[in-house]
Amino acid sequence: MTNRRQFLRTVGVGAAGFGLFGAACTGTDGADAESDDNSDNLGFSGTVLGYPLAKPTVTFTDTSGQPYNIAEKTDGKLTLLFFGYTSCPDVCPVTLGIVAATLKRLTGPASKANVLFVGVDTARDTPQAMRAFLDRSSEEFVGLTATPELIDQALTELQLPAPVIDDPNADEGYVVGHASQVLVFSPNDNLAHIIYPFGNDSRGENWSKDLPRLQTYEFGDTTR
Amino acid sequence: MRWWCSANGAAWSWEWRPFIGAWVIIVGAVGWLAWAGTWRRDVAPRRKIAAVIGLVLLLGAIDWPLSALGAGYIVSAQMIRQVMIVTIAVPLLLFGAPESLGRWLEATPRRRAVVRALTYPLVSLGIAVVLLIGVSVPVVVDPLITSQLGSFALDMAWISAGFLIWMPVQPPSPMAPRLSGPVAVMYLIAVSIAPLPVAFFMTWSEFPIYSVYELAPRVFNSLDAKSDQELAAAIFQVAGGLAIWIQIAVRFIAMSGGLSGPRFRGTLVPDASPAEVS
Repeated sequence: MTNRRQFLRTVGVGAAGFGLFGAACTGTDGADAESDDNSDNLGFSGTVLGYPLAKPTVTFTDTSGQPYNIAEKTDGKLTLLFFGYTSCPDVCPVTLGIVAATLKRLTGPASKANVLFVGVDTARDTPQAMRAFLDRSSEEFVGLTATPELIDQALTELQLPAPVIDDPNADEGYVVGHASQVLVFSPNDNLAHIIYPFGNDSRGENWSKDLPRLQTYEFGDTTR
Repeated sequence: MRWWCSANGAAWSWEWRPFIGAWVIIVGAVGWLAWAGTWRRDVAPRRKIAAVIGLVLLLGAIDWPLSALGAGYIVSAQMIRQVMIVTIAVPLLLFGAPESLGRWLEATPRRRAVVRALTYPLVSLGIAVVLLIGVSVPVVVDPLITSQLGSFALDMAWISAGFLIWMPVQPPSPMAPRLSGPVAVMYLIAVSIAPLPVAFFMTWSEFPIYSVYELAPRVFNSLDAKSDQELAAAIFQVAGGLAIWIQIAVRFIAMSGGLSGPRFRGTLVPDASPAEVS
């Protein structure tokens, strides 16, 4: 019996080591590698936060010029919040496109999730520009803007970095560095327990699996 | 300047950016063909034309913009490249290859044995299909295509698969093809069918299967990742199939003696009058 236990222990350690080696070899980037074991993330593809975040208290302005308080307007609804800018060449249109395609594919309450896009490039993100930009993905998406100070305040409340405006490039355009994760606010408690960084976690297949669950999931206390 | 195309996540730009590796390969090929005697006067013009077209198509497939689009932005561009390389450029290059290559391949018993083994139809087609399917699987494509070396490996796999597919039916002159006539036609039909599972998977998958293309900056706003994937599958099946079936049609026509009917080597004797015959 002792020899059998020792044998099994050795095999188990060896298999675990081999598995770790194999996982290391197949992963491309730790931040982007799709985890086979989502147990830390409660089975979701996104990243469960160490502590939940409340909706920002800032009152934005939507693309029709009306005031938009996120907490009031999206109370009790599954809400996706994303900060970007309309001249973004990559992350923003791709993220919005994937989310739009996902919502179109879904049926049920999750397909009606609110998607809010806050334009951080206040110089170029006019209401008209925002509407045109968002309509390429979905006419249902809500575009929000505010003064730079209020946007910074909202980002601070959400523990996100402030946007960084780069120097103008050759054609006098410029790139804006911004947080690329999507915050998802649960309809049950109006808190963001989970975020989806841009990458493999935010592919359409993962959104399709997670959004219906997020519509009804009771996060409870995920503080750690 | 990059030596080979690969996905880098940057927004697409229509600014011309050639890849050194592609030009090195093509210039090297042109130089070798010249040294090997492809451009000699006694070489049939159609072989020279085939070699030129093959090289132009190969350059088009491995250089900007098609290679850059295919490596990092649009999977349908990648499929266009695959069809261009595997079903059009390679057979043209084999047809236009100099005779010195064919003679070199058969110069020694060992080379002949290797060539015979690799051009055995079941072996060549089997390896080629494994290669083509292998380099279409997301778990292979997604990590490899993000580096220049990985992307180069994928392209070399296509080129290798192309040569393996076509060698049994169209080796460099003066080598005799392993397959000819109806058997060659049946082989090419099998070639047109064998890689179809990849296209079916791309067509019927509910989601984009390649993360590199799903997360890539959009080049055309109206072309989302799923539509792009379906378009790629259609290109693979339709364009790729068409290229092979054109070859099949040409061989079929050649088998039947061409449109003008059977040709004879002799000289037709004028019909004798009945009086002369009796």
